[in-house]
Amino acid sequence: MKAAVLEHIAGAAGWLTGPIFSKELRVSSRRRRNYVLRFIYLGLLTVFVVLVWLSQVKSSAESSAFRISRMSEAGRVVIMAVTWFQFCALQLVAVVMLSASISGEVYDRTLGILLTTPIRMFQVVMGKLLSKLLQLMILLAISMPLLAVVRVFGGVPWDFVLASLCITLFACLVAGAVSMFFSILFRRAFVTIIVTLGAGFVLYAVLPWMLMLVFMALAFSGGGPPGSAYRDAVMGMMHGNPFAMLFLATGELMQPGSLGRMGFFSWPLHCGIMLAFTVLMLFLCVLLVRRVALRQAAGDTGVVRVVPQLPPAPVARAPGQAAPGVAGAPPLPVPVLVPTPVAEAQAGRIRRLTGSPLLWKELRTPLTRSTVKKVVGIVIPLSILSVMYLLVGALGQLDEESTHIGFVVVYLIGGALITAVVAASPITAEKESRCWPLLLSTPLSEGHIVWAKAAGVLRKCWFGWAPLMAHLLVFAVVGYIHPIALLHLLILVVWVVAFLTGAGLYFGARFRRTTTAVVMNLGLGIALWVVLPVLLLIVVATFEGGHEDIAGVYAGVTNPVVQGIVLLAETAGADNAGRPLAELSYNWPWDGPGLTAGDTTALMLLFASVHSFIGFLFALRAMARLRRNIF
Amino acid sequence: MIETKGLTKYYGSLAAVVDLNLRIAEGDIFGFIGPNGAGKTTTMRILATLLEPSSGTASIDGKDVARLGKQVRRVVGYMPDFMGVYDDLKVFEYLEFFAAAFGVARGRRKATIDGVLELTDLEGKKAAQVDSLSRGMQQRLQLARVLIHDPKVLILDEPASGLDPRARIEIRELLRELRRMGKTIMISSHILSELEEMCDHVGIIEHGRLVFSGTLEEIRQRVGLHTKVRVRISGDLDKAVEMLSVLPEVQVVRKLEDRLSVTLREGGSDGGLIAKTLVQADIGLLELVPEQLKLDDAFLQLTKGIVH
Repeated sequence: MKAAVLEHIAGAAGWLTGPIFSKELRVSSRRRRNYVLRFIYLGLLTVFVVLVWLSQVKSSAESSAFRISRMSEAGRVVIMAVTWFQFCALQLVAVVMLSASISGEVYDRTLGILLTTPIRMFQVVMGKLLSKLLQLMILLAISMPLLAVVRVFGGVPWDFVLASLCITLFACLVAGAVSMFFSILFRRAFVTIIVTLGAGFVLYAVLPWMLMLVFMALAFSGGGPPGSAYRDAVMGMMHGNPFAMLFLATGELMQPGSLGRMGFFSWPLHCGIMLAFTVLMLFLCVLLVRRVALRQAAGDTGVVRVVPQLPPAPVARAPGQAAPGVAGAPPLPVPVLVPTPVAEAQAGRIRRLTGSPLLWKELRTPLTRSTVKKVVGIVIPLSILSVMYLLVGALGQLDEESTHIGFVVVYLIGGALITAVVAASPITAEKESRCWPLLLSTPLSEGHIVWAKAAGVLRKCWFGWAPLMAHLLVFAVVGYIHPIALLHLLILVVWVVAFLTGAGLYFGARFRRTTTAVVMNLGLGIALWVVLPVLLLIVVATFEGGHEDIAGVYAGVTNPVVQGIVLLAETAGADNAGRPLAELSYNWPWDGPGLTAGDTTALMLLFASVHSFIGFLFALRAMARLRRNIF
Repeated sequence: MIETKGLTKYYGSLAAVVDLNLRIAEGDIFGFIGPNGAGKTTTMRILATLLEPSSGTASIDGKDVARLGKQVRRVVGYMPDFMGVYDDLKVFEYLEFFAAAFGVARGRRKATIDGVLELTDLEGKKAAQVDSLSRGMQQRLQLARVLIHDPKVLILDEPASGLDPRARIEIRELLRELRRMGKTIMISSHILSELEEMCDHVGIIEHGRLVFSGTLEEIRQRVGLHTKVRVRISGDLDKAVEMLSVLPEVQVVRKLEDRLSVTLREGGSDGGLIAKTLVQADIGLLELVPEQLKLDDAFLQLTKGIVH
């Protein structure tokens, strides 16, 4: 009986995923990077847990009885930290893992081949998604012993562990499905990663924030305090947002009873909503994958692009005839050519090369050739931004300091993200298109190649910083931001771009795949600007010794977001914008009096010099590595 | 023009090329053959300055490829065994990019590009996107690319692989044309009959080691010590076998379906004695054709099918 049931389950699973599932698992088991990823993940998690634990039970002055009584609280804090760590890290891993799931098949030209087999397209989609999900579950599972050990100390109910695991798992499912959807639309994995992260930001942050503003506007429009309808609407909205759900769940863990005041809360309902969204995305994926597979089977090489073939040119040259243009060739009779109309029509659109060839190519290569993608890529962000500004304006918050800090932080993160991705891709893109050996077989020097690539990065990443500069410029003119902030933020942008460009080029020279280089460059940024400061904070909280401001100094010196906040905190808002320059006093996150605008400018220039120098060193390393592992 | 001395390349513990000594004279077409994984591509990549040798030296036009890479690249046109095309460029732009990269003067670029496009029959594709070209067209474009800076030496790794018969014939014609233009060409191919028709010299490599290097005639000397003659007669085949077997210059006579295959001893004549014997015996001689040793046969005899 039991065997029959198991057989039925295996049969159903086989029908759902076909042979794709086992193929994906087999391939992934042979990739070293998966083991490295698990090792790093578990290592980070362990360090994180140990530090959080030590910070909670560090006090040696109290009695043993008191320390034992604190164990349960410490257990809760550790579980919360681990839960959030897993929640954020695993979603990111899911996005990266599935970013090349379909485009990889297109790139390797295997999707059309799959179409010639009895495998159904939904089996391709499900097989890919579930195989990656299984690997994510392995990552989740390897942290279970840690959670179990911490739970021994008490204070953490099982239902929280279950709820947090389910919320994390379903958030990963959605992240993976969205990443897979975009991997059908975009040929390059890094484009998929960046678009998926952008979509996640819009879905989980921008849209809820805008809805909150609408709800608030509606709730306060009656004149009285917001009623239960407002509360229910907010809670309903939160059920579609895993960040909000986990926030509520961990809030309940730390302060039992807090959920009771919030209203209706059901994590199974949230998981159901996430599952429904995933099913919708998968349905779209199946439809699109079929289209792409059919195109590929018909001979198209792109993901969603069809390039018209020119008709064959008439052969007019006699065999043995040499070209008069080739140096060294003997003079030959002029061949009789019959030009084709299409070729003639297109000939006018050829762009002639000027200056450095590589620089010319880098400066004219578009991020995408698709007009639809260009329009969508401009219209959607602009529409969202316009609505955000309109809502903030309608609520009368445009002259507030916190509003501008919020916008600038988002723009800084967006700009850094785009720069990190764009900088890591130009060299690996050459490798993936197999043009790298051709380029290196020319007399172009390593220095020329790297600097031309760097110029191309600057040309491509400017649009990532345009919203920030436009925001600063517009509100400086309006009088809500002090003009000195423009200069300071410009210096900040320069060093972030220089640093990430150098590092990105190095990773591009170091690795063969664009996705690996992009992940490494993003990872460097996350490690330097998120992980290290957090760990430093925990270490400082754990080991007392009069160095409490080390974490602040580190964050102030290295973290562009922290610097942005410091710079805006003194210059943003109607009150600050009108102050004389001499009155400005910047509070950097370390002990001591506030710095003047002049000192802050000097400090920012120092930061810019150091980071640009590090970026330069990275670029030099890239040059040194350029001719290694060419093939 | 091309010379290697004790050239050796290791990938970790795997010896891809071992103690390779080659010498290719200026204006020669050198056919480089060997089984898959024999070390042909590695050798060519070293000569194209894309790989560094583990030991030994290689030089082109008297310049060491490891030390004077930039100077070597100026005189070499390298075509790898795979397509490398930029997605976002048109054919003319692609060629102009490489023309500029090789330092062709701006004023000469258009004429040069038009010339190589004409030479490779791609004039009509000048404005086509590079990635929209068929495989054969892309292969021709690669040839156009390697010619763009008028290099003295062409290193062509499997230039005809994957092409249809017509395209292969066109490529062969093109290479002959290039030889007439005085280029030194090193070419690898699995289609040995084509090399046989084009090459002055042949190098056979197996398991990273050069097992033979010389002219086609020297190969025949080395492996084809016996020349075969195909004989077709109108009379009794058995009688003819009996008569020919006793001739001093004949080693073996084999009776095939409708003809005889006669293997001559080393230093034997071109078959004149066979004709004379048959005619004198009043046997009608319909055909007497010397069978030359094919490069395929030589390849099979000289190599053992060992691959890494």
